[in-house]
Amino acid sequence: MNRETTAPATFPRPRRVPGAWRRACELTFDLTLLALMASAALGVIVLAAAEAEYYRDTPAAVRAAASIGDTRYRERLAELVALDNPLAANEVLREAARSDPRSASAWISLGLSEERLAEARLNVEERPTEVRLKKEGRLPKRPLGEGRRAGDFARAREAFESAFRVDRQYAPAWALANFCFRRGDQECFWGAASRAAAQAPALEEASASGSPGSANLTDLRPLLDLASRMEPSPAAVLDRLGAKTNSPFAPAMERAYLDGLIGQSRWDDAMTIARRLAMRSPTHRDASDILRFDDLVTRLIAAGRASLAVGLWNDYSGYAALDPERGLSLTNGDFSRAPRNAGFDWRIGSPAGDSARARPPDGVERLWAPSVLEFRFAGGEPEQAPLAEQWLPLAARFYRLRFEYRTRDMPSPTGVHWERAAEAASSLEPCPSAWCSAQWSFSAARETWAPLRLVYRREPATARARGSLLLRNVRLEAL
Amino acid sequence: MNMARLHPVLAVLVAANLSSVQAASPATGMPVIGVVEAHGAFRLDHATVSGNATLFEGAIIETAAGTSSEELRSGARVTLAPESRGRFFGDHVVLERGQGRLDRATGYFFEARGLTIQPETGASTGRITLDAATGVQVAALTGSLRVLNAQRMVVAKVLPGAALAFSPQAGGGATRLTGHLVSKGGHYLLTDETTNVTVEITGAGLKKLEGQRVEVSGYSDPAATPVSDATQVIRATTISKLPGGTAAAGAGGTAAGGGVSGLAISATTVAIIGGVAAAAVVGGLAATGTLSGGSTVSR
Repeated sequence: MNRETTAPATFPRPRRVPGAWRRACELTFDLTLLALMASAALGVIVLAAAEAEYYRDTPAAVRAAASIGDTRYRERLAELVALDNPLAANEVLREAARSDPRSASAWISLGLSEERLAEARLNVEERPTEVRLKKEGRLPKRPLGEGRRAGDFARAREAFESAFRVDRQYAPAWALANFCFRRGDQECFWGAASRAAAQAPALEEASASGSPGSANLTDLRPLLDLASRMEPSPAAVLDRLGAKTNSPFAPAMERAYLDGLIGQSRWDDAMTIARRLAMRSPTHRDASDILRFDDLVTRLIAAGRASLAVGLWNDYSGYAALDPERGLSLTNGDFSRAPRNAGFDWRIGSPAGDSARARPPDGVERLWAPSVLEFRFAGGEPEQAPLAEQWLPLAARFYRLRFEYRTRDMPSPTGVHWERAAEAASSLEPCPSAWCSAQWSFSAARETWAPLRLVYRREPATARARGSLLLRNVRLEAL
Repeated sequence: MNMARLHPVLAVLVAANLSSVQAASPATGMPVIGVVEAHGAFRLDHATVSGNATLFEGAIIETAAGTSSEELRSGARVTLAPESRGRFFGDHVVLERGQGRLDRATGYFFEARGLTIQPETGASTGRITLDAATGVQVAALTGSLRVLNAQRMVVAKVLPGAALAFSPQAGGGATRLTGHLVSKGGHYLLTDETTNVTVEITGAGLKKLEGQRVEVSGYSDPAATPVSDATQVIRATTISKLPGGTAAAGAGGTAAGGGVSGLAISATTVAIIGGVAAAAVVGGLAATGTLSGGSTVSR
């Protein structure tokens, strides 16, 4: 093997930079760095000065701050000068939007400003004339100045639509939907409103938390309220807002809408939405739905709309369907479930079960156990006290109410009896040793809604009751 | 119209009654009365809204940490201070809590605890504050404001730069006013130094007090018709002469008691008129609240 010997590698020595050149480079570098640092420092000082001016919150100070071009400062400047000079304020906002076209906030502010100007112009120039012509009964079919008016509001619309384009979140969609509503532009409104619905913060937060049902429903109400002012059909409102699909958010929208409709006492519309929600599969329901339905049915009964409430009650209550024509008018007569104190179930004035052990205001304790309802009297009850009641949907016919009861230490007569409308049964006699069966017959002259009541009224010549009465197996037979 | 011409016109916006031509929502017919704007969140009819919203007749606005600005279609602007609540209508707002400011207010007015506060001109700007108890403070920032009681009787005229505090009283008939008694056409007039309301005084012994500064106690006579400069007739039960010299000769309905002098004396002067007690706010405008000129910023 030949081995060649090679001379050790030698590397060319770097050329020596002439000292003057090197110093010049270093100096240039240092100066550049210094300039950059000075520039940054100056920028920070300018920003700090602008911020300080901004917080002085006077037009002059904020104008000084706005001179550096920050959109936020310009928007504030516009607010400050808007009262005295709305045109100048509008110009400031135009400049803000031009200089920062990606700012939805700037576009929305401009849109609102343009709309104000258009409204103001309308007020000054045309509305007085409209008022006069209207009084004279000769308002033209086409509004005055329609073409020019459209032009004025077109600038506002353009600004709102710019916000809508640059930012796909809730705020621009909400602002555009409101503007289109005010202009009566349905197509524009539904386009913006449906996007706002899809981007509603409440739903987004609920989505992030993985529980769509937990959405903060009050946040959805303004949008739903606006939409229902545009479209009278509640089902159509939800459909047009995109809640017709099987989106997990559709039930949340329905709940929010239902709450709003109940709050406005719009019973028929509330029923439409409630039944839509009630028909959803259990996986799309949450615990609040039953309470919401109970509340609606109770309010409907109180509003004299009990007939409307029966359908919903049958949909969700879990009890046998009420059908007065077939003689099915009583709910939970066997007390298999705790009375709900709502809807067509028993109302016993206080929560049933152990929680009722707290002394009730009328001094009569009401206790529920499966199959039995018990009333305990401590001698402090008023002369008359309703013990339990249930709203009965009845057809025009005769009825017989059958029930079993038992008493402990009750006076004779007990003072406890049934009432319905103007009819009243006689007071029950004590039955201490075993369950007694009893019945009471009454009639309904026509299809009617009235509560069946179990009432205590102290009988003459008896002391106030100190004892208890148990009730079970209440049945209503149509004769 | 050239936009440049619009500006001066805007200053005298909306003299006309515009409610009859307000736009209405397509489905419900509920009139749109304006737009509400705010930085951040506020409550509209008990629901949370952010940024801006459309105002309908009867809408309730509640602010939290920030202010809100309500631009009414009539041209008026109302600004609600933080922690305030108002119910808005096409021609007025009912202040239910906190503080509100009214600008460009021709034809628009505030209601607060049974009082009506309305501007005398469209250029009037006012600030109305509810105190924690039953009182209402009214400050006139520019122009003057009229304050009326529940029977629509003028109980005060708040002059520019002045601020008055009002408190409804039980038993509305009693009246106590202070000012110079002047004679005009055989009638005796008194302009109250605190409220700037001019009333006609009837009763015995008025002639010898003519031109004097007096305190008059008595009762309003709703059946009597006052002379043209006065808003009502007061039947005096007691009149006491006060130090303070005589009124200038010929002084009429606008005699003593301008805003500044009213402020100067009224820390101890309480007027009672139309069932409402009124006193100047010590410290004037500076003491009446927090809303600066049209601020809508919450930081």
